[in-house]
Amino acid sequence: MSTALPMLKLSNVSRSFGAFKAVCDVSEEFAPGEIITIIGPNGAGKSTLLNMICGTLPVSSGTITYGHRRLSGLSGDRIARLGIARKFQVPSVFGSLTVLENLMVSAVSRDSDLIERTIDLVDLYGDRHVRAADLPHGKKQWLEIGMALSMQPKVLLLDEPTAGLSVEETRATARFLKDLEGKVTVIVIEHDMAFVRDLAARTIVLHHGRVIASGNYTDIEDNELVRDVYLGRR
Amino acid sequence: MTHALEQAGASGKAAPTARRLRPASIVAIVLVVLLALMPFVAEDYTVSNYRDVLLLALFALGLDLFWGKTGILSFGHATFFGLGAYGMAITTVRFGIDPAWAPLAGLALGVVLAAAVAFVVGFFILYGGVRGAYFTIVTLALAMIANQIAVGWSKVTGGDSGLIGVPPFSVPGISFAEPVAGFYLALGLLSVCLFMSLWILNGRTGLVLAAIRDDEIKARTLGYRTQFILLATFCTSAAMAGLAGAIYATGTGFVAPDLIALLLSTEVIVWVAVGGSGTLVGPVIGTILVWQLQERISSISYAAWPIAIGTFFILLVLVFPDGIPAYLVRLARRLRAGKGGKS
Repeated sequence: MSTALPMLKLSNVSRSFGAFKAVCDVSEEFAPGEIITIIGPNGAGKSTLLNMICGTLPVSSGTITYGHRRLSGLSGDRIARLGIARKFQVPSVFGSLTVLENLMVSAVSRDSDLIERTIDLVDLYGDRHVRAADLPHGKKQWLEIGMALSMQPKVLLLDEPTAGLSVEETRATARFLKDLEGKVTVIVIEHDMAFVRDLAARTIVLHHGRVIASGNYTDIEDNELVRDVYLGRR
Repeated sequence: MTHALEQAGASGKAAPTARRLRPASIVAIVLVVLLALMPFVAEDYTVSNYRDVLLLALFALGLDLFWGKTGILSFGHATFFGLGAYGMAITTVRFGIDPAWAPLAGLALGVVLAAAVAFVVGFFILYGGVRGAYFTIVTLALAMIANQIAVGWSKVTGGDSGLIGVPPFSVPGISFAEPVAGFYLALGLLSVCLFMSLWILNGRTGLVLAAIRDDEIKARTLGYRTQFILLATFCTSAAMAGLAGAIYATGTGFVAPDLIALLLSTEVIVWVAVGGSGTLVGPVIGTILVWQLQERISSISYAAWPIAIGTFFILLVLVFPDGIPAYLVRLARRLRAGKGGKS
């Protein structure tokens, strides 16, 4: 474990819905510029964990610290202004606005260069005047990633960024995220193991709301418990 | 996507849209110019009527600012119109203020009262996460409570009979008692509010409101204080309704519980819906159209109007969900496309 101050620290974070514990005592540290993938079966608590980090859901117990700042109790908009951006599992863009307008709304500043750079980065220049609702699924995914990036975040939370993307687009997404390594802390939830392998990042496995394994992907692939509950036996 | 990666960091070509004159602004300019010419061709009676219609249009504009731009329907907006009217009436009739300053004081009280009530109610319901149909029901209940207060608190409000003797609007040295002066006052206020709204909502503020209307949770994760933005819009909308109500009372010379009644709350929704919600200029046109219709129906039977407005409302939802002007534009496009196809 690095001695430097982590960008994000989860200490015994739990979330319950009535008697059901969706996330149980998760403690993890995320370094500045690190890329982390979170995997696990459906209902493992992955999205709930991201929801708690970005303030959409309050924690039931435990603390989330961002640098020196405690996030627990802060509103979602306050957390976003501190520099934590989120991409949802189902592409969440503003359907009545054009691609350009979506980026104008999300951009941290009115600097037109930032919007121009982002629109090129996500390869949506040709669609800039298209209503977001009319975009195909893959482009909506990219637009939402572009919206998150235009916030110039320090932490980027991505919930299944490759869902519905083609193999080529998925590979491009992995390369794109690798380019962010060292610049932004990226936490990615994914089910696509080829993508997770391509990212070659530290991987956390959640099952029934608990961390059952953590480490590099090769070790995770060889972990008996992970193979039993999620990856399956070859 | 490879292209995207290759382009990363490169200077792009996309330029964010600049604030420019949009069709709604052009329609607004034409409408205001046409209305400004009316006193030159119409009789005083018609001009007086149109003064009231313009104030009702200002009220409709206020509702559209909130409903049209945020997608949240307030079914009790007559509360704010009525508060403006009663604020003006109570100040000028009951307070015994110097007549030279009373209308200005009444105007200030009316607008502040409407905005303050909107702030208190809006704070609890918007920060409490009340949205959609629940918001509509709460505002409906608000209108019913306000109406009961107007009827029951007769010592202050005059009860069922209301208050008479509200003086024409004036500022020291200028009186708006004459129909033409009153008309231009109403047109001036409507124009200022309309063009300010168009200008502000044509920019980033309009985009943010549209974003909140599309997906409030997403807007919050982008860092927007959505509850505060909605509350500010609700208060501005209520203040506009209060302003319209206060000046309206000085034109009619009296206030009655009708000004806070459910019928007026329904009518204003119809005016906005007829013109097309969210267009800002549409509700102004809608108010004029529906008022003309009301004049014709009421001249046959006064009692028929509530039935007609109800029927009209159902027709609107079924046939013109985007408003009559938008329907006519679509129809014209279809006809033009048909002609093009034939030739």
